[in-house]
Amino acid sequence: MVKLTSSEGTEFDVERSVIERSLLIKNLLDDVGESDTCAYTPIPLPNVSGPILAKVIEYCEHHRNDPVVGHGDADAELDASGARVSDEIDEWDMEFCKVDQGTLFEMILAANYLDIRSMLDLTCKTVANMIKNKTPEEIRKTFNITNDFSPEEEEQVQRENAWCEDR
Amino acid sequence: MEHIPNEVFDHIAVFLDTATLCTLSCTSKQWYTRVSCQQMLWRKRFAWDFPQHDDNERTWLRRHRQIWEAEAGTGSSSTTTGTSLASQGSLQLDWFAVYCSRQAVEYRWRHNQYAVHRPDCVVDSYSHGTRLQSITHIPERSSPGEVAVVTQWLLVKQQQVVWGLERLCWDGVDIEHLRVRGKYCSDEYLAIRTRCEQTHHFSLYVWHVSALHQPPDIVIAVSSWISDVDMRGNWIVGQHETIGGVGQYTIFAYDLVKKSHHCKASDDFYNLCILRAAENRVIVACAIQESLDIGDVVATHKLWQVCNNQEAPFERWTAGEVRMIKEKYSSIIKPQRVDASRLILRADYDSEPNAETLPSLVLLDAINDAAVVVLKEKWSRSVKIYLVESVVSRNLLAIREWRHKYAMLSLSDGAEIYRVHHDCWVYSGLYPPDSQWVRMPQDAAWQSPKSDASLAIPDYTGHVRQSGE
Repeated sequence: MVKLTSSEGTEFDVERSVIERSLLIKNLLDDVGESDTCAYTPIPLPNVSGPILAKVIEYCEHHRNDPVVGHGDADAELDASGARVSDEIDEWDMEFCKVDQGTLFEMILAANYLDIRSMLDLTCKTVANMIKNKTPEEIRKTFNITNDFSPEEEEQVQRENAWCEDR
Repeated sequence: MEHIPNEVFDHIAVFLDTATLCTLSCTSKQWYTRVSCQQMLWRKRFAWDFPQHDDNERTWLRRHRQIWEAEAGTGSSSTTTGTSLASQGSLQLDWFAVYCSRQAVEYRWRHNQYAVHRPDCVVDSYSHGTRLQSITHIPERSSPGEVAVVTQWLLVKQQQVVWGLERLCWDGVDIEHLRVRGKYCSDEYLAIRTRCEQTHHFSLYVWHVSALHQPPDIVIAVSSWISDVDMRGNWIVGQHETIGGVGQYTIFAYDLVKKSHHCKASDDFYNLCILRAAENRVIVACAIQESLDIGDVVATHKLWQVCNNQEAPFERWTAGEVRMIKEKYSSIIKPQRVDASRLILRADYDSEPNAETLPSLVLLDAINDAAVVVLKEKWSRSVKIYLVESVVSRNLLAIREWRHKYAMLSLSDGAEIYRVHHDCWVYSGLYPPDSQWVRMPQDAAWQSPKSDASLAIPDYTGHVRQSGE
């Protein structure tokens, strides 16, 4: 077992094989070696809060038997525009990402910090799907973005990007 | 979302198509900057959507780069939010701007939103400017003095793009009885074929586009019709009936740089096109049908290499035969270049083909085999054909039937991929990316720029109007 400490000091016990989906922790444990001292020495994760660490562990437990996704997207499936395909998310993952926006962004940051590639892909895909097929105004509303273009600037960007209507 | 670091946004961006990314860039200044500064992504997406496989795409990017460098070099370039790379002291292209401009050009042509420019000055040449593009206009059977070249100039000092009208210099040529009977343009040269109304002689004159104000080179002047003229790189080729020889023809190849003329007599009248042109050699593809009969004909195709500095400049490389359909006595089997390694043989055909109909279209691969090039049939199709245009960057052949319908065939196997009216792209030659094609309804009919009266060319008092981006 491995002990993890969240930013607020909450401790989590988790099986090593589960949390090794995090390349950050896997490399750290590999560096420490096979001794079981790690079970008693908590690994501090100052960038991850308790609720988010709980979500991370939930993700890793569900996907413990999945093949580890490596870095680089050379083999990633691309759509006709050269973007990575984002609409293939399985049911459990979709439910897993049904959280408020703040939590979702914290999950992205945690997956990035802990280097869990598949979770980073999943959460980024979820955000990408929230942006797609929306007008600029709808995106602003969804993500609470303030429009700071002057009317002239806004008219210019809209004119320059008229081709986007063709989607 | 503002708190997402750029590194994480990079991950989100790879899941977004370019239209979504650009829509995101329209939401606020911060997002405009965050989207536009993803230079690696935009460069990759540009290469993906607009592969530089054909002359039109390469010309567009070169022109964009010229304008960009002129503006960036003087620090005047500005994007919407004033965050241009130029203002950061870098002369590297802004790939976000490149991508969006290229998409916008195609969109505007398709939606009849192009600008119409009126050349407001008549010039000999702009020695202090860069020539961006030249469009030659020749009224049918006009006098040589009426030929107008409308040129878009980039005036570097003033950072200004202007349109000017040039007249060709005909010094040394008696043009009084000449009538223009054809023009041939390449990136660097303009050739005009003329016929003398008195002597009925034909001539071919050539100018370098940067020296239209200087007298032309005379490529050839003969008493018979000059046909099958094709120009590529520094070579121009063609054919004419041999003077004094009935049923004998002469194929000629002229090196426009070295001004060397090569010719070869032939007992047969071939249809010609240039397959490849290099500094010292040109490879010419020829086709001939065995008879003028209609129906099942055997077309022979040949490749000739013409080299400078060789005692016998014409060298025959390869020959082959294909069976094709020929519908009319007047129609002929023609070779047409697709790119440096592909060629089509095509016959005009306007009937509904059936399973037994022989091909009206054959694609030949030009394969390097040791020191020579050989032609091998790759695929053939029985289709209605009036005109054929290669869209190499999209790996397509646009086959125009009568009544303006187009079938877009895959260059790989000849299969029909789309069916559209494609007149909206004929001026620019800049086609939509693949992701756009798949969304376009079959038989989509976009407005043709040809129906726009403002694009109709000119009166001859200097009021020449031309189309532009």
